[in-house]
Amino acid sequence: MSQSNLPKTLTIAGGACLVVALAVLATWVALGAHPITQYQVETIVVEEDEFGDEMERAVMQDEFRFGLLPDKGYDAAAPLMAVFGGLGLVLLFVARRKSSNEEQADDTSAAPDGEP
Amino acid sequence: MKRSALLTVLFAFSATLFFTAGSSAVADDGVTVWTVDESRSSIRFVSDAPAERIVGTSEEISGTVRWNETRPSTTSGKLSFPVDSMRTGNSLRDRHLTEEDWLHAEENPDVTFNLEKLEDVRRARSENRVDYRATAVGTVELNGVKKPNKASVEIAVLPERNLARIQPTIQFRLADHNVKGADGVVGSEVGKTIDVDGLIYATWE
Repeated sequence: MSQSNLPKTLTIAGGACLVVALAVLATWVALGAHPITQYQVETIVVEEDEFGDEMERAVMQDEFRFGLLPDKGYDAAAPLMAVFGGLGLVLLFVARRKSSNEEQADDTSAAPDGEP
Repeated sequence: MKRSALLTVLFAFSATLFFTAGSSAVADDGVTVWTVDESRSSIRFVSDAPAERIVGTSEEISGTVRWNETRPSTTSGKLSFPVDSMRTGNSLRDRHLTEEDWLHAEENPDVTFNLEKLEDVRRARSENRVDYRATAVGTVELNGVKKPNKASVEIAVLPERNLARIQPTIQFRLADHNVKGADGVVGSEVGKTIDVDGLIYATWE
C-alpha cells in the first residue's frame, strides 16, 4: 500500500467501522431496544391443577433478546458500538493526520530550488 | 334405661362423625404439617424502576406449614428459597444478585418468610375443597436482616387428596434489609420495593 493511498484506505476502513456501529444501533432498536441482553425470558404458563382451577405460573424459558448491556461480554449493543465506533473514529483521525502530513510534505517538496 | 343408653351411644357416635368429617390425618391438637412440593412450587418477583422492569423467578421453594384446621389463625411455618436460585434471564445480573452489595448469598444463602399467624381468616367450603383468604403475619429475612411483614394469602385445601395450594403476595423494601446495591442503582435501575407472588403446593401424610 503506497503512502498516498494509506489515508484513503484508513478513511474507508474508519467509515466502514462507523457504519457497522450504526447498524448495530439500528438492529438493537429494531429488535425492541431492550436494556439488557437476555437468554431467558419470563413466560406465563397456564395449567389446570387438581383443584380444577387454571393457574398461571411464571417460568423462565430460553429466548434470546439482544440488549444494550451484555450478559456474557460482547453480546450486546453497547460494547459492539463502543468497539466499532471507537475504532472508526480512531481510523478517521489517523487518516486525517496522515493526509495533512502528506499535504505538508507535498507543499515543501513543490517549492523550486533557489527561490525565496 | 336401655332406651336412654342407646340414645346416648347414638349421640356420641354422631358427634364423633360430625367432628371428624372432612378432616385430614392430624394430630390430636388439629395441626397438620404440610411440606412444600418443591417440584411444582415457584415464586415470581418484580422490580419496577424508572430505567427497567426486572422480572424473575425462583423454582426452588422449600418449607413447611403447621396448618391448624380448627384454628387457622394459629397456623405457622417457614418458606424459603435460595438467593442463587433467582433467575432474571441475564446470568450477569443473577450473579450480581448474589454479591455482597446485593443479597450477599455467601453469608445469607436464603430468602425466608417465617409465618407466625394468620389474621382476618375467611373460609369458604364447597363440595370437596375448602378455600381461605387471610393475612399472613410474620417476618422476612433477607440479606441477614429480619423485618416484620405481612402477606395476603389465598389457601385452597383438598382434604381428601392431602393437597393444599398457597398463593402469597408480599412486598418488601430493599432498604429495610440493608440492600444498597451498586451506587445509584437502587431507585433507578432496580426498584426500591420488590413485589413477590407465589404459587406453592404442599402435601401432608
